[in-house]
Amino acid sequence: MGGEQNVVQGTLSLMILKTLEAMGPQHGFGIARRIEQVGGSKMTLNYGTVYPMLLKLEQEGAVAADWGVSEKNRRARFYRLTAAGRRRIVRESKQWSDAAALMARFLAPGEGA
Amino acid sequence: MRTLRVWLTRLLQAVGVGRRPDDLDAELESHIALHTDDNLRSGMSPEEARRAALLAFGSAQATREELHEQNSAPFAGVMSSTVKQAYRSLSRHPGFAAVVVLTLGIGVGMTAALGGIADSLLFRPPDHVASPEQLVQVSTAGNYPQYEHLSAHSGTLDVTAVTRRSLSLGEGEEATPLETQCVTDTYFQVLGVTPVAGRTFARDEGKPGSTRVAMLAHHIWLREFGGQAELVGRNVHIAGAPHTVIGIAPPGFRGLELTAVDAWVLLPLSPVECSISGLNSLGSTSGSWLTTLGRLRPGVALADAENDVRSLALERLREVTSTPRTFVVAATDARNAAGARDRTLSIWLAAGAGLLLLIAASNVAGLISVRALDRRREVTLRLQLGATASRVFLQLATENLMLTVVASVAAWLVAGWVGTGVRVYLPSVSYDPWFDGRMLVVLAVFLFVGGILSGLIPALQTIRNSSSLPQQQSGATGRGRGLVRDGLLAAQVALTLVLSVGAGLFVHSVVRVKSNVGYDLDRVIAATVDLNRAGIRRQADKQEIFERVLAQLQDTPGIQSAALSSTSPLGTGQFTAVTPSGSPGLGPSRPSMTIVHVTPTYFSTIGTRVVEGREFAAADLAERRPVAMMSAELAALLWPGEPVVGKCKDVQLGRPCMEIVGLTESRRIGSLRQTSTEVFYPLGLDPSVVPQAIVIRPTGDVHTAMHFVAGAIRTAVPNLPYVSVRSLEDLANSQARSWRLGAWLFGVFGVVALALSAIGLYASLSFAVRQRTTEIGVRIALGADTSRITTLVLGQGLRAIVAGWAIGIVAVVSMAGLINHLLFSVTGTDALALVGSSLAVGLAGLCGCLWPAIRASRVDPVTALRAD
Repeated sequence: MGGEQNVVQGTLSLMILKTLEAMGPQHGFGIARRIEQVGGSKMTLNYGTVYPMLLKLEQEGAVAADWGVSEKNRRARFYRLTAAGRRRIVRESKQWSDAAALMARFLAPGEGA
Repeated sequence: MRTLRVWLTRLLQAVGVGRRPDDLDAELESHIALHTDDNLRSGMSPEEARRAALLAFGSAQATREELHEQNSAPFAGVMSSTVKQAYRSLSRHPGFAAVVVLTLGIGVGMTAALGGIADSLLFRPPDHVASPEQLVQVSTAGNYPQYEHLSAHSGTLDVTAVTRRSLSLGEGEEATPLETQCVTDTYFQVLGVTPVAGRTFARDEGKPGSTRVAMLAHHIWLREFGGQAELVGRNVHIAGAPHTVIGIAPPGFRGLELTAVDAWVLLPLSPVECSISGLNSLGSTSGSWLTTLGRLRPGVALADAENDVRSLALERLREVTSTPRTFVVAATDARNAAGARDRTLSIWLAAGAGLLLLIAASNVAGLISVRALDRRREVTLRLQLGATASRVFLQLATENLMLTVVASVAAWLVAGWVGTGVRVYLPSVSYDPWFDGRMLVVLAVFLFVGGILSGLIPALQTIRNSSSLPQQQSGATGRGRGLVRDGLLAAQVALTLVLSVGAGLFVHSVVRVKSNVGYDLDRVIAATVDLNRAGIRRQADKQEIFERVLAQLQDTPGIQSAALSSTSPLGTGQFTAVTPSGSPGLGPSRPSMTIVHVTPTYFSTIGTRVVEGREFAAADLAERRPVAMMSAELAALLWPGEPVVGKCKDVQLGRPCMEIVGLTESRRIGSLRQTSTEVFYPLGLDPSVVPQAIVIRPTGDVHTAMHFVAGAIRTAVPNLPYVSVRSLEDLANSQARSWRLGAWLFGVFGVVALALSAIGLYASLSFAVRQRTTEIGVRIALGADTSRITTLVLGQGLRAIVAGWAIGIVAVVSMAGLINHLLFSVTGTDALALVGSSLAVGLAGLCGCLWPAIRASRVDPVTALRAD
């Protein structure tokens, strides 16, 4: 299938954070499913890969987590954004748009060296 | 900042604060459960639902591992897997690991122990003495009147006088020996010592007639009196007389002596016990039996004290200005000279150990290089399978580190054992080999730096050589490095030769020590009795008792002959040094003579041969004839070329001439190193000389005879506290102690060095053979004889051996002079030792070369050519 991309570490962390921002507190399965939905046909995601990333984000202080109960009464660990996490979203989003804007200049037809 | 927080959290988790591993696993399980539920709601069957969930999850194992690693301490996973791998790798080659550990352990351990001992002998200042660098020893005050004169008139020094005696503690049969220093009242002030209990001697406490007082050593206080506090003020019996204990010295204090001192008494109060001759020599103005120490007064320099002492001495001595000696020397220098032989020996031992260490280190480096070469294939494979160079390097380094750690423990054990063993032979060493801080630090630094470095370099080389596709490694490319390697090998062989020669010299020395002494060591017993301890003080009484004992012994069956002497054979007492007349012809190096008074049959009893003339006879004593005997050596020195026996000669300055009735062979006196310049007079001619020792020659076995000799003496003198009866062989053995230690340790060095060199040669040649495997394969394929291959390899090894031997011989011969004074009637260039060691080194070298040579001849050309 065309257009598949491997998800790179650096982007995955931002995707997780934005998902939490949009969905509110969520467990790992929910986050992974949402990321796949948002990415659509442009990405494949092995669901398991979010967990090491989530642990790292928790260790970095961008998210906090606790055990809770899902709507279907399953025990699950729920993640939520911290204030530091929110600041990080702002910062990294800006970095991405800056980088994209810069590349856009070079990729525009007729421009660039 | 973020990374820091991550690391901190991970470290905390490692100590138990944070998420536990089963918590992680539970979360993953819960994910699968949630996804399965979701799938079930979409209409899948339970098995399909779970399978789909697992599929979507991806590699569970990889995720779990990554998750657990992220949760644990940084690098913990890497480290634990690296260590496990290293352990597995080493245990596949246990021989290699064992050899490396043993080599490093022995090399470093011995060096550390002997270095520590040498250091403690050389540099350790006397315990509890204040500012020892301010202490001096004065050689112009050898007897009591001279000391008093100096004490009263010196403006530069505070002085005290010391002499060491072996007295007794306690009464009667239970009396034990007490090493005592007889000192003047200022002793503790001059040395600056504070007692742990009680007080020191007070000024003028030594006025004759006062109560006798004593200071006890700390270890005696503990051992004999259980450390009871009330000992101060009580009486103890020293040399049979009651002394009041006034204080206890601090632990380890022994003045400036090298061996322990048990007690201190005042010299003026115990003049008879403290003298050598058993007479009260306090008033005597001749003879030199006291050591005078002084402390420089504030602001006084050594030169000032020298001038002061010299001018004071001028008032009494006539010959002072003619001799250029200094009279005042720093006490530490004097102390160093006193322990000189033990010190020199320990320096040589430390140097020997250092050589051993060098051999060991270069050996280990060689072994590791060989192994690294062996593993090239393995490393190449790893790198090509995707391992990073740093990861492989880390693993090689970890292996090396593990070896180093185990080798450190081994070295610590070796150092402890060697140190403990040496202390048995050199009791003057107060050195704790197990917990000497400095030694442990040196050990650690040396092992970790040396061990790691010697492993890193081959590791780096291996990786560099392996990371690209296998290259041609022909022998020629290693030309430069080969020279270095050959040079190292030659150096190793040279060092081994030096050590082996040292071993040979010491062993030969020990063998010679007991021959050639001038006594029949295995046939004679020497007995000494200290009549002072039995309370017998008068000259006439002592003389009578000794004669009674002699008569009793001569009557006892089983005793062939017995005689008396005024000195103990091979004893360590001081000797009266007298300058012989006829001195002008001898110049400044005239010998000082030792006077010995003996009964007739002395020489035939003790086994010293009379080479010319005869022994003393009973008639000489009865007629009171002025006769003398001396060693032939001394006679030749004093009157070269002249016939002496039967002539009347000027023997002693200021005395009438004496008839020399006989000349004896040379024999060893004192510490076995001085040859005798002895002059013998008949015992009994001079009433002031009292016998000190009895020599007995039993008809049968010496050891069984020792029992009834002691019995016979006790029969003659019933209440002696104890009688010292020892065989001459025993006495000689204790004197030969240092040589035996040197022989033993150098012997061990020699053997270990030989083994190490053989291993080193083996390793190096194996390395060379492996490098040239292709070349050898080609040669064999082209029809070369296997014996030619063997010769080729052997030749390489032999070159190193011969070169090393040549260097070693040069080194040994040039250093031979330095070691002479440690040896006994063997020179540094002793032919037997040189030849023996050369043979040993050659043999060991050949053994090392043999196996690689054989392996080279067995190279299969097909495999060899295919290998690279």
